[in-house]
Amino acid sequence: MAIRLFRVVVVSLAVLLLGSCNVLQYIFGSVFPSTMTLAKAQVDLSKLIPASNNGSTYLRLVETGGYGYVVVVSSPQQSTPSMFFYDLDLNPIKSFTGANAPASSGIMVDVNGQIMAGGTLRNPDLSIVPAGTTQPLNAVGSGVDGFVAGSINVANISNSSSSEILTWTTYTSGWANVSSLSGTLSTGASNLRINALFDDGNPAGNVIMVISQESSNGNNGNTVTGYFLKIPKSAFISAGAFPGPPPFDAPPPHRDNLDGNSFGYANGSIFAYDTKTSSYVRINPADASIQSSFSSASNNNQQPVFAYRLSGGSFYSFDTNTRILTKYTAWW
Amino acid sequence: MYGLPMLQLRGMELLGRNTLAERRLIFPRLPRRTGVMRDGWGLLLLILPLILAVPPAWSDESQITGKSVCVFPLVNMSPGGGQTEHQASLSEAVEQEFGAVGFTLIPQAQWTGEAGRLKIPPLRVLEAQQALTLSRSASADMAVIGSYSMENDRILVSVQCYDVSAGTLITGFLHTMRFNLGFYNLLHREIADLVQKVIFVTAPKLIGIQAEVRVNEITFTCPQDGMEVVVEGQKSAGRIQGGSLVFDTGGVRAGTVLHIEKQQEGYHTVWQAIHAAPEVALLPIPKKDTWATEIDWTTGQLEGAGATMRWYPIPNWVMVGFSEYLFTQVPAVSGGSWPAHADSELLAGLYLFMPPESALRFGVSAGFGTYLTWVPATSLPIYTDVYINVLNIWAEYHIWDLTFLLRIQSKVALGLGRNVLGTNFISGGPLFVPITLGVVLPWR
Repeated sequence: MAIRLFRVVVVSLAVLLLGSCNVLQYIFGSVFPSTMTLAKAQVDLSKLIPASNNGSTYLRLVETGGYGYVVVVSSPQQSTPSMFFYDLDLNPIKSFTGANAPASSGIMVDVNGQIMAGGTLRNPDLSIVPAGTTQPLNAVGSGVDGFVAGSINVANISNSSSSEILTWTTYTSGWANVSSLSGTLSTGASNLRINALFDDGNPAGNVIMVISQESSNGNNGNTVTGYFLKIPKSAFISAGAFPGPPPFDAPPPHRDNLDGNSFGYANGSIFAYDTKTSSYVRINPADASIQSSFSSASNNNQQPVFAYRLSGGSFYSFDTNTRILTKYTAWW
Repeated sequence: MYGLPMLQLRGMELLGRNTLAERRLIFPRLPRRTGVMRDGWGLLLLILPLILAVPPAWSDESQITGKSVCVFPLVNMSPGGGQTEHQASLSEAVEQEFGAVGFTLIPQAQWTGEAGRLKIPPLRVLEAQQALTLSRSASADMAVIGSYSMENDRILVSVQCYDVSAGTLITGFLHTMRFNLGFYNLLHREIADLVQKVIFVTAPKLIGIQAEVRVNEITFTCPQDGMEVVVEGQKSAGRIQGGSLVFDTGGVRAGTVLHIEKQQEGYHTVWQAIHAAPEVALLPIPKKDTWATEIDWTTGQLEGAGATMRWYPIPNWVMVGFSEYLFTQVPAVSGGSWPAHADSELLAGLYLFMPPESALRFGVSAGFGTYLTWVPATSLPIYTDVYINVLNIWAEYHIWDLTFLLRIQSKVALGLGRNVLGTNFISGGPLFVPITLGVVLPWR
């Protein structure tokens, strides 16, 4: 009995050792990325979106009124900006270019469940709201470009990396401008960047802001230490209500070695790509602990941006290098 | 060749045309007093018992034939000079034991004259140096001296045997025994033991005998019937039939190195160096392979298997191969997809260094290929990952009638068309390259 137990322990230790050395992963891993087993659909936009010319491309996901859209927002510097709408299975729905998709355009679902996209208010089926309401929205790097706080639309969110002042604009439910507000993001830290802003989906809830300090974590410009700030939406409604700078001398929950363009939000968790372990990780924003992970092995040599369904089930990536949009099933 | 039984001398003989010097080399120091030895037939008569009796080559008798010994009378050392009547019987006992196993006894007359000339008194014969001098003058190989001393009913006997040419003591004994009816039995037993020790110590090296033996016939054994055996690239010994082939050497010294050329249609010609002996085992020669199938598994693609069809334009040296490897990826999550991959590859390669008959061989190859990827139950397209196989380095080991393969690959995906891998080195994991294990099955 003792010998059998000893063998079990030895074999277990050997397996753990092999596993820790990535040997098993090497032996049984595939030359193809493990995300191939998650892929469900794909669209090639290389003929629609030009190769990178230092512009920006964002991936957004909006769901309202029984409709769900995956939206690729392309704002190339030397080409016509575009918004490409696909359903959740990546079937093409509509695309808007030029005046209907001005540069730096964002997209959000407003208080009334209508979609403010490319500065034009649209019904859930993407038809234009007869009133013809227009408001430009600034796109945030990742996550959402605006959100609903109570009965107020909050949009045009941006951060000045020189002054570390966050600014935004509040609108009525009919998109009448209420006020332009601001809050100090930091007084002690500099070169802060908003990597992502996530809406928890509850008008009376919170937004999760992921910020990082440029060059704060290693020499890979795309690898950051992500700080997770949970901010009540009510703080964005009234002047002076913003909670003030996070105490960077006693840092908020944070995690190293995260791809700065990989953040997403679903099922109450932050998602990101861990460049050190070459795996997708699900992070608890309350304490930055890893809840689960999915090894992608050899796959991360492209330049994807991600969008997650708030309710989970699937997530999407757009490779800004190959300009390919892919739907994945949830791994968590 | 130590311990080669005389039974194997069937293919050997002492040739009638051998010179006398050769005969002496084969059986040195034949007994001089045997006049028949000067006759060729007598020589044969002497040899025949050795051959027919089939004693082992290292048998005692074959070793001591022709050894001569000078047995000096045992010197009486008894108190008061008495007991001289036993001297003759004691000395005779020594002579009997040496003579019984084939030693040639040097007559006393051959050394007494020399002793008289040198004025050596009988007592001093007991001294080793004197005994060796006298034995040397009598051309003896060994000298035996001894003494005895009797008092009451006890007798002390001492006997020593010397190597005359080396001038060294071979062995001896000193025993005190009760002098009664059983004394001579015990004495003979002691002397017989001494003689056996002398035989053992002075036995010539076996190789010294066999190196001079000639081999008239070599029986080649090999499981490969039909294989032609050519000796020294000139004389065909014929073909192996029924697992053996008898080759008439015409008389060649045993142990002579011969170069054997083994050949057969459809097989590689292979040279094998042998030592001439009555029976020589030849290794089979490898068949020339024109086609072969390779079954393999590659890291990074283990959830499947591959097969390669090889064609050898130059059998077992240069090959062109087309491989097809089918594998999948097992999804790690429920609801995941099962991608199916087909790796098609065309390779050209050649073996390096080692000939086809070598168990271990090395080679290199290069080529190009394509991974086709299909993901069922999705709307994903079929992906095409074209790659170049820059260099394969492989080793093959032939054992148990199978050839096992280990191949290290370096593939570079080109990122052409609708692909998954982009433009990258293809690896099974960080810092590793794909490694293939397989087995090669020739078409025969």
